[in-house]
Amino acid sequence: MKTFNKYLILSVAALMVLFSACKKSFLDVVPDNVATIDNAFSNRNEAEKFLFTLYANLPQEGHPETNPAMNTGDEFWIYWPISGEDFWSLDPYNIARGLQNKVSPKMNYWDSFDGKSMWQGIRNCNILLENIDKPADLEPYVKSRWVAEAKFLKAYFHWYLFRMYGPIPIIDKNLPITANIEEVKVSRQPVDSVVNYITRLLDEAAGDGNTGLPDKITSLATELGRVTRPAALAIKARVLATAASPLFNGNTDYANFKNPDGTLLFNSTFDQNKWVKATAAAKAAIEAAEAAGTTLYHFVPGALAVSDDIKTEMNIRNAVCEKWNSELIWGSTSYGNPTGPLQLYACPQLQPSYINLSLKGQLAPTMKMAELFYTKNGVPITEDKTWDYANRFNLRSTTAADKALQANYQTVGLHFDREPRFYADMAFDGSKWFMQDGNHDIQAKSEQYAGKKQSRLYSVTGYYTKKLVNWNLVETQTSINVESYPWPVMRLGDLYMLYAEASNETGDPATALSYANKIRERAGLKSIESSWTSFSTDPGKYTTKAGLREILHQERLIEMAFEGSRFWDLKRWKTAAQTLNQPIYGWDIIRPSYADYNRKVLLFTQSFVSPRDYFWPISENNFLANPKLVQNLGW
Amino acid sequence: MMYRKIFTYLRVKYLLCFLLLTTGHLVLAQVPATIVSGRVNDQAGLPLPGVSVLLKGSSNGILTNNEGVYSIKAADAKGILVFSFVGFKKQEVAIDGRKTIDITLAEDKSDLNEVVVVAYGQQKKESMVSSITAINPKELKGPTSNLTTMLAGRLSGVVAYQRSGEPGADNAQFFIRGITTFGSGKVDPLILIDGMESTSNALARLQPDDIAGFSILKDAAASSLYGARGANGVVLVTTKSGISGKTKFNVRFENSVSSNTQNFQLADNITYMNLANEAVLTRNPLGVLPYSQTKIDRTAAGVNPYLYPSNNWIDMLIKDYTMNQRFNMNMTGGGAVAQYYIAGTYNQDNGVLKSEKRNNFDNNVKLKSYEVRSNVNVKLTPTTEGIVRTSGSFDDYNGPVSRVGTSGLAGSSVFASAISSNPVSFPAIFPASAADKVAHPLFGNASLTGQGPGYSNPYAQMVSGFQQYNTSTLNVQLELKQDFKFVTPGLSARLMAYTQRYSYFDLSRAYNPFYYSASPTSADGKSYNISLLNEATATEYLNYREGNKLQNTTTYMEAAVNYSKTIKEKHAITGLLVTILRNYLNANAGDLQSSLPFRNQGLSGRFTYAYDNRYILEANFGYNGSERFAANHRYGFFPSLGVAWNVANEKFMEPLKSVVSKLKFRATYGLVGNDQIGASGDRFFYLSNVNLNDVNLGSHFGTNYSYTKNGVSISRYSNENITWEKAQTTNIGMDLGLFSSMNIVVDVYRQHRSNILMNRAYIPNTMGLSAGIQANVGEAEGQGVDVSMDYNKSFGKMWLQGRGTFTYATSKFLVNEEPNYASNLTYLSRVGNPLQQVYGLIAERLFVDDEEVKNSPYQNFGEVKGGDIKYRDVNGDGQITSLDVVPLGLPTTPEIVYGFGLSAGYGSFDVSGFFQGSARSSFWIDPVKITPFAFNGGQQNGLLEVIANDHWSEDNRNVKAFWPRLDQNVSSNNTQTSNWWMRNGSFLRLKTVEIGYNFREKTMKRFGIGSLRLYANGSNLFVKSSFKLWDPEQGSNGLGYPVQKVFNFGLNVQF
Repeated sequence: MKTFNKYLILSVAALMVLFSACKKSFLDVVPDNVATIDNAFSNRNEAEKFLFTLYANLPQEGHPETNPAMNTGDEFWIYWPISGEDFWSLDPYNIARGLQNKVSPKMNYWDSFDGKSMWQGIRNCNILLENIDKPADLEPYVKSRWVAEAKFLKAYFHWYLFRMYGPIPIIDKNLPITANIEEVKVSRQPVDSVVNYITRLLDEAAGDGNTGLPDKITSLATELGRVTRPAALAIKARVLATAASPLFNGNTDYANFKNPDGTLLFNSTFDQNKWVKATAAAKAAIEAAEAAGTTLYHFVPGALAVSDDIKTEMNIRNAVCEKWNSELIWGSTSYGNPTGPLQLYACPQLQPSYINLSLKGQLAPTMKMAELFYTKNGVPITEDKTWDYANRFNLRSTTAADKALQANYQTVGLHFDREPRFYADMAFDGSKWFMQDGNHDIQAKSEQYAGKKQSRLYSVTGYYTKKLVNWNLVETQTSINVESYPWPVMRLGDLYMLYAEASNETGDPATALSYANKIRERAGLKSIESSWTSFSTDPGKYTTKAGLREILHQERLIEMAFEGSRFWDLKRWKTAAQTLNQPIYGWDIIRPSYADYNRKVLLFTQSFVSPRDYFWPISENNFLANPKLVQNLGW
Repeated sequence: MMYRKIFTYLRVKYLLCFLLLTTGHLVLAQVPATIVSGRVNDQAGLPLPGVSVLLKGSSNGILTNNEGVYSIKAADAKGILVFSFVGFKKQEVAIDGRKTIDITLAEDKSDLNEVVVVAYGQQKKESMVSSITAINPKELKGPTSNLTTMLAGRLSGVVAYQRSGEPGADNAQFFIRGITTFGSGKVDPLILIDGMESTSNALARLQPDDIAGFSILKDAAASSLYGARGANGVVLVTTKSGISGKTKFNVRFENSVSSNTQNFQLADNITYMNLANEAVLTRNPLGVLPYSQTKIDRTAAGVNPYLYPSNNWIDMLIKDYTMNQRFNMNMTGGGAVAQYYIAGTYNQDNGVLKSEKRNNFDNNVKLKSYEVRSNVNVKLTPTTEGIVRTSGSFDDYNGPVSRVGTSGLAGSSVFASAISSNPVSFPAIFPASAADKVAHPLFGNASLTGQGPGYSNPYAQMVSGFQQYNTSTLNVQLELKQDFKFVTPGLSARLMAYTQRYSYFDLSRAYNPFYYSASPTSADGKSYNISLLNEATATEYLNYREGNKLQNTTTYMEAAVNYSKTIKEKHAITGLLVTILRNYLNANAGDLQSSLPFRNQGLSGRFTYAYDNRYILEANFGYNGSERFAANHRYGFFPSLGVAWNVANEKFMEPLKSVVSKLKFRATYGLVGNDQIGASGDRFFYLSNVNLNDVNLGSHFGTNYSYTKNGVSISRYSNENITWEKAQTTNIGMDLGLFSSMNIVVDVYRQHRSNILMNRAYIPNTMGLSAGIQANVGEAEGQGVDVSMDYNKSFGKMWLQGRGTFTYATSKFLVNEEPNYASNLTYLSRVGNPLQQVYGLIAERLFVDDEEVKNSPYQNFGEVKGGDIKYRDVNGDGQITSLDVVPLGLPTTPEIVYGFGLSAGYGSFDVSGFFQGSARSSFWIDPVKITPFAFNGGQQNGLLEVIANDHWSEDNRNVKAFWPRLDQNVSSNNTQTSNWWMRNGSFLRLKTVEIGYNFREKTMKRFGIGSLRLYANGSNLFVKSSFKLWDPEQGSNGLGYPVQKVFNFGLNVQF
C-alpha cells in the first residue's frame, strides 16, 4: 500500500504542479492599454473628440424628420401612404395624423430617437465636465471654452426635453453606475425650477466675455457651427420667452399636475415678471449679437442683374439659405450635410424637359399657410380693405403686371397681390421660382412637369416650400448638386421677433413696433403703424396690447414660417388647440384643367386634444422602472 | 444486434488481448499443439468479429477476424475454450478433440459489461451513478447527411427540433433537458468529439458509421468535471478505433429522393387582384385601385400571359423533388503493434430550386460535404500506447445569391420570396423572341415611378447568379497513454493534445438582370412589345462580390492520472485527476477585445468507491477558470456527489433474478457552471468597452462642415463582480431490467440556475447610459423527467426490438430582473412562468364595425377600424398598451419530446419504424410576412389561400375570421404579438421507416463479398398535427425552406 501511495501521490503532485504553474498567467489575456473610458481624457486630442461627441448628441434640426417641429404640425402635409424610398422616419407624420401614443411614442427623444437620447447627451456633458482637468496638455483658455460649451449643451439638452415634455428631472451631476435602486429614481422638477436651472447654466456658459464662450468664431474653416456667447444668450431669451408664455405662465389646466410625492409641477399663477426677464434676456442677446457683427441679412446680387422684387425675395430666402449669412446666430452643421435631405424633400421638378427623381418635392405647405401671409399691403388677408377676400378661391388670369406670377396664366385670387414673403416662401401652379440659373415656371397640374405623375414624389397640396431651397441648387438630368446650408437654430430675425413680443407684454409697444418693423422692412413691407392705418379694417388694432399681440404673433408665424418654429409657438401661446384642430386643405392636384385643379380639397381632419397634445407622452416603460415619474396629462 | 452498442469498450478489451497474445505466443511456441478453428456467429447468423477466444487456464488467446473466424493453438485436445465478447454471454466449450468448433453467442441482455463514454474516460454501465444517456450509434442512422436531425425522440433528455430543411442550414436545434437559462449567452450543450470541443455543425457532419460511442451527460455528477463549461449538458462522441486483423472494408452507398413535406398554398391570381382592390377600398373608399377590371378579366381569360401575367411563384421557383447521394467507406485493420481506422465520406445534398437553362451555371443549392478520418493506435512499448487521430471535414456549397438584407442562406430566401413577390404585375421572363439581337434572358418587371424596375422578380433574383461557400475543419489529435502497472497496478496516465483549424469563405457572382416591361400594341391586349427598364444598371456579365472570411483556431492540452484498484474483491476504488488548458483565437474578431484569446484552464477529478457492486459512491469536481472575468472571479469550484444502490445485486433479490434482472437506484447532487454568458461581443465584463473613434458620434464644423473628428461611444460599463452562471442539479434515477429483455431508465431532476447575467431593470433612461448595466442576478429553475425503455427478444429466427423515449423538461423564472410591478400589474412579471413563454395581448375577436372601435378602449398601435383585432384591456385603464400583455400559450420550445419505434427481423429480413413527437409548445405565425399586398422595397406580398378564403370583409363580417380586415399596408394594430397568431406546435410524425435484406455470407462469397445489406428507408413520411399551413416542426419559420421528406435506397457491403 505504502509504495503505491507514494507513486500515486507523486503523479498527482506532478499534475497539480502542471496546473498551478500556468494558473497565474494563463488567463491574463488582456494586455495593458486596452481602451477604456479613462483614455478619453488622456490628452487634448482625445478630449476634443469627447467634446465633438456632445455636439453629435444634438438632434439634427435641419432634417424634417428629426426636427420635432416641422412635419408634426400643420405647416406641411405629405402624400399618404408614403413609400419607403421617400422618408427616413414616419414618426413626425404619424404625430400630425394623430397617432402619437404612450406605448412607443413617436420622436421619442426621451428614450431614443434617431439613436439619440437627450439624457445620454446630458450624461456625456457631465462626463466631460467631471474629467476636463485630466488632459495635461489642455490650455486653460481652451478648457474654459470647452467647459462653457459643455454647459451650454447640457442646458440645451434640458431645454429640448423641457419644450417637449414640460417639467423634467434635472440631471446636474451624473449618478454613478453603482447608484442604488432608490437613488436612480429621479423626480420631475417644477417648471420654474427647470427654467431657472437652464438659464443659470446658460449664463455660466455665456460667461463675462473674457471666460466662457467666445463672442464670435474666428477660425472659420474649423469652428463655424460651434456655439458662441450670443448663441447662448439668444437661446436663453427663447427659454425665458417660452417660460413667460401662457403654456407655462399661469396655465390652470395643469394646476393639479403633481409628482406622486405631491410636488406641484406647474405654477398656475400668472407672473408678469417672467416677461420682464424674457425682455431683458432678448435685449442682452441682441446687443451681444450685434456687437459680434450680426445684422439682418440683405441680399448682395454681385454681378447678377436682378430686379428689386427678386432682391426682396432673396433677402427673405437667403436669410435662411445662404451659408453663414450675416443674420445667423447659431447654425447646426450636423452630419456634415445639415440641410441636404431637407432641400431634396422641398424642391419640385424645375425642368420641363426631364425628371430627376432625386428632387422629391414632397414637403408640401398646407393651404392654411398660404392664407397666413399678408397681402401686399402688409396686413392679414382677412383685414385688407383692398383685397377681395370673399372671392379668393375664384380663378383669375394673370398679366405681366403680376410679377410673381407667370403671365397669361390662371390661378386663384388667393395667389394675387400678396406680400413678398408669400412668394419667397412658397411656390404653386403659376408661380415662378428664381434660382441661380434663372427663373423657373412652376406648372404643377396633372401631367405637367412639376405635378403628380406617379404614386410618389409630388406635392399633395399643390404648394412647394421655396424658402428652404438654396438658390445654388443645380439640377441636371442625372445629378443634383445641393449646397447644404447650416440649419438656422437661431437667427437675428427670430430674436428681434422674440424681443418685440416680450416688449409688448411688458408694456413697451414702441420697442415692440420698432423691432417688428425692422423685420417688415427687410421683407419689403411698410411699418405696422402705416400698414394698419392705411389698409386694415381694424386700423387701430396695434394700439392695444392685445391687438398688437395678435399682430406680432402673426408677424412671427410669417417670418419664421417653415423653420420649425410655428409648432412650438402655437403650443406656448396655447393656441394650438384652435389652430391644430382645423382641417388640412390642398388643391385638387390630380386634375389637368385650371378649373378642376383650383378646387379646394379636404386632405385630412387634424385633431389636437387639449391639454394632452401640448406635451409629448413619456413611454410607459419609464414608469415601471421609476414610479416617482408622473405621466403628462391625458396620456 | 446489441453488439454494436459497445464499440467503445473494444479498444480497451483488445489492448488486453493483444497483451495476452504477444506474451502467450512466446511461452507456448515450443509446445506441440493442435489447432482449433471455427466461426463465431450471433443469433441472427451474422459473423462476430473481435470475439476473444481464450484457452482456459492459460494466457493463450486470440480474437476472431472480420468473418468471425478464429484459429487457436491448444496444447492438447482436452482444453476448454472461453468465448467472450462484450454484450454477449460468455461461453465455455470443451475442445473434446474437435478441430472445428463453430459457436453461436447469445446476446447478454443484462448489459452488465456495457461501457459508456463519460467525462474524460469511460465507465461500466453497472457502476454508473450519474445520469447519462448512451445510444447505439446505429440508432442514429437514417436517410440524411445531418446527424442532428436524428436526435429528437431517440435520446431521452434531449429536446430537439428542426426548423429548416435547407442543405447546409438544416441542423436541428437541440438542448439537453431543455433550456434552463435566459441569459443572452450559450444555452446549448458542450459538444466534445474525441475530447475536442466542436460545433453543432461538426456534429451534424459526423457519420454514424464512424461513431463508437455517443453519450449525453445530463446531471451535475456527469458534467461537473467540465466545471464552468458544462451547465447546459455535454454531448460526448468517440469515433471508432482500428481493429487488428486483415483489412476489413465497409462500404455504404445511398441514393435518395427528397421533397418538401409541405408547401404553403397561395390563392389563385384572379382572387389576388380582386382582394388587392378590396384591400384598398375597404380602408379608403376613394383609394386608387391597383388592378383594373380589364386587367382582371383579361388575366382570367388568359389573353396574353406576358401582358397579363399570372405567376405561381411556387411552381416557378421550386422543383417537386431532388436526388441526393451519400457514400461512406471505412477500413480497419492492423497488426499487434498498430491498428488503424480510416474512413471517408462524400455526401451530396441538392436543393429543390429550379435553374434557368440559359445560364451555364447552376443556381440550385448543392452542398457537397467530405469527411476524412484516420485513427491510428500504436503500441509504443508494452505499456505505452500512442494514438493519432486526424480528421477533416469540408463543405462545398453552391446556391443562389442571397438577397441583400436577408439573413440565413439564400435557399430560404427563395422560399420567402415566393410569398413576398407580386404575381400579376410582370411575367418571370419573356420569351427570347420578344426582343431581337439580345443574348441575355428577358426578365419581366414593371415600373412604379416611370423609371427603373419597381418590383423584385424572385425568378430573376434566383437565377441571376450563384453563391459559394467553402468550409474546412481540420483536427489533429495526439494521445499518449502510459500504464504504470510496473509502478503500482491500476495506475495509468494519459496526455492528450489537439489543434483544430477552421476556415470559411464565401463569395458570389451574379449579373444584374435585364428587366423589361410589356406594353400592349393592340387594343385587345393580344400583342405587345417590351421595353428595357434598367439600361444603365443591367449587365450581361457576372459581377463579383467578396464575402466573409472566417478563421479560428483552437489548441488544447489535457493531462490525466487514473487509478483503479479492487481491494479484497469487495472494495473497488477508482480515481481520476485531469488538468486542461484551452486556447481559442478568432481571426476576424472585429475589435481589439474580441481579438484577444479565449482561454480556459481547469483541474478536475473523479473518485468512486463501490462496495461489493452494491453500494456505489462517486465524487467529482471541476476547478476551472476562464479569461473573461476579473482576476478574483476567474476560478470556480464545481463539486458533485452521487450515490447508487444496486438492489439487484443484493442477496434478497436472488430469487427474483429471473424477473428483475436489474434494479438500481441513483441519486446525485452537484454544481456546474456556464462561463459563456452575455453577448458575443461582451468579452471582459470587468473592463469598460469604449470606441474612441466612433464615426457615428463625430461632429462636423467649419465653413464647409469639413473639419471633423470622431466621437466616443461606450458600449459596456465595467463590472468587476460579473462571473459565471451556476447550475445546481439534483437527479434521482432508477434503472430497471425485467425478464432480461426489457430495460427501463427513469430520471427525475430539478435544476436551479443562478447568477444569470441580466441587464438591470431599475436603471431609468434618465440615467443617460448608453449601454445596459449587467449583473448576475437572474435565477431560474428547470425540472423534468427522462424515460427510456427498450425491449429485446429473440424467438428462434425471429427477433423483436422496441424502443421508446420520453423527455419532459419545463422551466420557470425564479428571479427576473424586472420592475416592482404595482399590485394591479403583477401579471406582467415573468416570475413563475416558463423561460420561453411569450407575452402578448389577448385578442378577443375582430371589431364588428367602426362604431364598436369608438366605444372600446383606445388601442395604442396605429389605425383601427371594424374588422381589426380587438384586444382586451387587462389592466382596465381604458387603453390597450404594452401593459396589457399577459403570458400566452405554452413555451416556444417544446416541453415534451418523445419517440417510439419497433424493429423486427426474421431470418435475413428486417423492418423497423420510428415515430417521433413533440408536445406542449406554441408558435406564432408572423403576420407581417404574410400580410397580403404589403409593399416593401419592391417586395409585395402574395396572398395565402387561407387568407383569401377566410378574412373579415364588409360583406362577411366574421369576427372570428383567420385574417382581419384587409389592408394594403402592414397594420401595426393587427400585427402585435397576440394569441390571434398563436398556434399549437404539437405534432407526431413517422420519422423513419426501414426495410432491409441481408445476403448471407455463403451466398456472397462467390462474389468476393463478406456480406451485403440492401435496404430502403424513408424519413418524415407523415405528420399529424392540428396546424395545416406548413410543416408544424418549422414553427414560426414556415415560410422558409421546408423540412424534407426523403425516400432512400441503400446498400452496405462488407468485405
